[in-house]
Amino acid sequence: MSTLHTVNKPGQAMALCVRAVVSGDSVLLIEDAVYELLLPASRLNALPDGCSVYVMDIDARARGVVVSAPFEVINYDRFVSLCVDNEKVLSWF
Amino acid sequence: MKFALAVYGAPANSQAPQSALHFARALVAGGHEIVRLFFYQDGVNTATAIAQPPQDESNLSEEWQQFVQAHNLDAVVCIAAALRRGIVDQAESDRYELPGHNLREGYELSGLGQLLDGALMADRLITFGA
Repeated sequence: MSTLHTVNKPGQAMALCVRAVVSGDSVLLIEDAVYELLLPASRLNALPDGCSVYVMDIDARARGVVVSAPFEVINYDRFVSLCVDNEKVLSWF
Repeated sequence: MKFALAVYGAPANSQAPQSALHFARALVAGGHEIVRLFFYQDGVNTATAIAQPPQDESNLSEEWQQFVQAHNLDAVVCIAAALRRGIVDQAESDRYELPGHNLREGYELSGLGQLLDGALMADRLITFGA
């Protein structure tokens, strides 16, 4: 059973999220969480193997954050699909 | 698929209501059903009728109300969170003998149990935190 974790800010929310993610889960960065990509030692590097990290397109563009592989830029339609594809959705904020 | 949405942030100091509206529109466009909207904590401010953001900014409360009414959604505003923030309907205004009421049409004040009920009714509960 996989879980989609949404995170809306860097810092503690992100740290707590990373502790809870297991292999096969997905992480979606929305709102200020896209700033996590600017951190040189991002916690995202500590995620277990087999996890996908998605970044909300409009939130990254609004903040001037450039997204590159392995992170994938998505829109809200894809956010909805991820909610359907994962049995659980957890929000960290 | 059935979705319930919880919004915890206010339009003036959080992106939560905006993100939630984007998501809700994508749900409807994708043919999904929204069985409950629940506005909690500062999120109750989304339902006020008397906030006036500057004219060159989007009026999220207005946009949310139009969306709720256009799709005839079950939109619940947490009554305890609303009362402490001065968001009241006619009945609560009368009960507490307040000078007016400001809950937008289309929303209902009710208890936190409606969030649990929404979670049970829906296949997915998506929370938009402050």
